[in-house]
Amino acid sequence: MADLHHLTLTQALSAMTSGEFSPVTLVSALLQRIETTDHNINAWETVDREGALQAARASEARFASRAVRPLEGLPLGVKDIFLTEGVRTQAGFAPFSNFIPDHDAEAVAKLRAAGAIILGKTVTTQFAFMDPPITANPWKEGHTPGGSSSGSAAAVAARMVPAALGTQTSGSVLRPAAFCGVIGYKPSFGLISRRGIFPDSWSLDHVGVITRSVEDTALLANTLFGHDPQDPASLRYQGDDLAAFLTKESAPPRIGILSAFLARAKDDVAASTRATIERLARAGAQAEDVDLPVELDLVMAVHRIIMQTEMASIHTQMHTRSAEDYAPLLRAYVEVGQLIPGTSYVHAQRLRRRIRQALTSLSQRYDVLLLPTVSSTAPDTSTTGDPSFQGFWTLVGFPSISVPSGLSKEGLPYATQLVAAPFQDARLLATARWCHGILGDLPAPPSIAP
Amino acid sequence: MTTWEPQASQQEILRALLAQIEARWGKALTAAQEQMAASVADALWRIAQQPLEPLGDEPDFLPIGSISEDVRG
Repeated sequence: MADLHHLTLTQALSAMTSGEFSPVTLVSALLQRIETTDHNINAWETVDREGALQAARASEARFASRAVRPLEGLPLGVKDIFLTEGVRTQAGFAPFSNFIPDHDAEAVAKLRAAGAIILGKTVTTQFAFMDPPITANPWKEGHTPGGSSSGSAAAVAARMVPAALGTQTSGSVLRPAAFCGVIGYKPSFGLISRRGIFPDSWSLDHVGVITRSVEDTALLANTLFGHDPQDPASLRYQGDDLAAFLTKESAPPRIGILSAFLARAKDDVAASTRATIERLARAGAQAEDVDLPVELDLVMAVHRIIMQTEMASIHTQMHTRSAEDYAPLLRAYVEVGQLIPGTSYVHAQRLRRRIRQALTSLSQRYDVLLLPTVSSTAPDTSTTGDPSFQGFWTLVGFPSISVPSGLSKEGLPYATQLVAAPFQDARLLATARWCHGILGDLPAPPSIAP
Repeated sequence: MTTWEPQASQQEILRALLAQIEARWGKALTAAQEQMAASVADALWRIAQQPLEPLGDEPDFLPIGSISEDVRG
């Protein structure tokens, strides 16, 4: 059957439920797609061909016996920083090249228990930091796919898999999603367990998902949300069923436009964002400019001190043993991070509370706040791009989502970021679905096979 | 100087930090270390400009506000 690789999760589930094709057919088609496409993209670190086909056969039996689970037979990619039972987890670090975990990260275990099929591990930058990845941007040669969830975003954009897991400590889900023209979502802090993921920063790490539809985002979040007593940051979420919430008719949203970010963006990005806002307003959204109650540079300074101190702590012992195996930026980050005074770290944590309070008050006045996802389109491959517009919200744990919103003259994706008040994830996704409906899908990247 | 005063300028913090890096990691600084040092010095300076009160400016070590465990979306 042709073109199965273009299906979203929701479309594939519907088709398999009605018997149009089986999980084995779908998984086989995607494995074939990876084989023919990935040599130009390098999105996959490890493809678990046998494991995926075995899971697909088991899933096929469940469809036959009508014992179907919420994600039955749906193929996913997993960033290579999540532990995966029986499948190598390298985290971009050579000393881990033979590391095969004996258990899954909690998020992966939940997805498998809900019926999802893990096709393999997608490329991460080393330990999800900012050294450039080997992955190419499917939209244009010579441009970064972003990072650190580089392979997840590129694989979803290149139609090798409908959705993939990522992580975000600064901007590592939303930025690659934006650069690759797909949807990236980071929930409120504490809603998805981080257990079994190699940490970057305990107080900043979030699990996120990369998809091509907001419905798929909600479908995955429904499974991933939930309390994990073994993750000290895990909360009990009493929110709506996200997928059901999206089926409700949503009114045009009230949008607060964060013009301070537009002023920091490249001219073409700011112009594209203004054009996006006009389109949303014409469709009925109430949009108004709002002042940022905190200074952007201060917020990113607080983020830097917290992340760098925690990351230096995490890596101290391994850096002592294996400094030469570290990529240059990460190595320097750890070495300089070890010298940040403890009082400065606590000072930053105290400022975080102030910043969070000010931004909570602002966010509660609107359904969503709106800003460009990134200050520029995908730059060259010497960098993974500017994390400041995404990291701003990671610092305070607010839910955020990036939706594609057009193409530049160069043929690179623009993206718009929506942010909601803490724990208003259902409202965020409903608004994102409304906006995505107005803005429409991007086509598949032209450089890849149709 | 390998430490800095609370009212130090960005340049003073950077000089002190570079001296610390040399002392800890060796004289020949890499380009990445110098880049990181400049960013950290800037961040340290920016947060030092923000006075805090002993009461009312307690830290949130996790960004979850006053919610302890149960949250309502």
